[in-house]
Amino acid sequence: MNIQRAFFVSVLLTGFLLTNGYGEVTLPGERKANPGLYEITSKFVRNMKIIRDLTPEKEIISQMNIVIEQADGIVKLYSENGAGRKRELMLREMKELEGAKNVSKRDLEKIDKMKAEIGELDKAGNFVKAGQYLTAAIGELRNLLDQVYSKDADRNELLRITRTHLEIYQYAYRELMK
Amino acid sequence: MRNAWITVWVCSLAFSVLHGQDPGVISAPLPTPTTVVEPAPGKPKLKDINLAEMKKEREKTLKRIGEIDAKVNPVKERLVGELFGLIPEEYYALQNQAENPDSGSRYFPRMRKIYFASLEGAAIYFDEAFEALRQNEFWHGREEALIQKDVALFGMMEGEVSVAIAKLPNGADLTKMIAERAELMGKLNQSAPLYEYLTERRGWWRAYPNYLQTLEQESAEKLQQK
Repeated sequence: MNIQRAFFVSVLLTGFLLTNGYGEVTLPGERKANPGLYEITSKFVRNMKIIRDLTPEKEIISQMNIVIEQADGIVKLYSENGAGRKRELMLREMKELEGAKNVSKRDLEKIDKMKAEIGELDKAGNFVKAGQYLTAAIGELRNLLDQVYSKDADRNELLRITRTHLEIYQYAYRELMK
Repeated sequence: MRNAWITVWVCSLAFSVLHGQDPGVISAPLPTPTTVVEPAPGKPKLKDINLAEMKKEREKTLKRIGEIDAKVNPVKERLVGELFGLIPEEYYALQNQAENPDSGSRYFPRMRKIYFASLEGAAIYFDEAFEALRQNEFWHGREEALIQKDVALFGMMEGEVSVAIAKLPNGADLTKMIAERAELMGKLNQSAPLYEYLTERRGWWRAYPNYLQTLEQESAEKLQQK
């Protein structure tokens, strides 16, 4: 009986670990078909930490820390009560409805209802504020990166990678927040 | 006698009218050139290459390669699936990488477009960059190394596929066709740079006759600035 119970608990635990907390199964090494803000931001934070460790300039490192902190804040905000996921799904559905050729009266009502629900999910406007802080921090980091000149090929390559990370994340963030 | 002179005059008049000459004006025969005019010094004469024939030859070669591919590729697709677990698209991507040396340099800019095209693309970029950064490999080194690895992998696979093909009942015919294809590809690749130059860049150079001079001037100015 104890073995059965242990097996049951281990299956539940494994299932929880694989679901990423949102009821969606993602096996290790598997790429999600429709990545959202959580996946994109987590990957961005993970990579930025490595880039920070490879960066020699102190001023840039401290600005990178700010960017990482802000992005991490978005990940945490997203995870709170699953509000981020709900918000994202509603935004996607809204985009689909608005993008349709013929938007019916019923669809418009649905869109209004969803807008109100999105507002309810983030009453304090934390998502918007966090996004604004992150955008400002990224902008500042990009300014600092533009002032770095190096003759070393590896350093230049790392600068290019850093800039590409920031560009791609900003593009993805804009897409997700539309 | 007088009638004969009149006949000659009438005939000459008719001839002059027919050839657009003013009647009554006797023109001296035009001197026929005896020597070929040499090109002006500094402007070498271009060798006349029959481009149409060259193009036709290339088309013929490509057609034959296509015929061979139509017969050999289904067998190869099956074998790479059985031997290495690859889907046909993967195999062709490796083949392209190995046969066109510049496909790698085209591949990465194309990937950059993918990264910016969708959220999936962004996630792919972050994962690939993570792998590279974790191994302390920077893009420029990694791209070159990846291309070399793919070319080596394709060579190894081709060797094993050839052995498997030779064992098939129609193996001798297929092997012969594979060898013919390799020969044709070699010929095609050898003539490709000249063909490309003659069909594309020569025209471009002709359109900008002062290009070389401008280039020299610019580099001289840059040298002076330094």
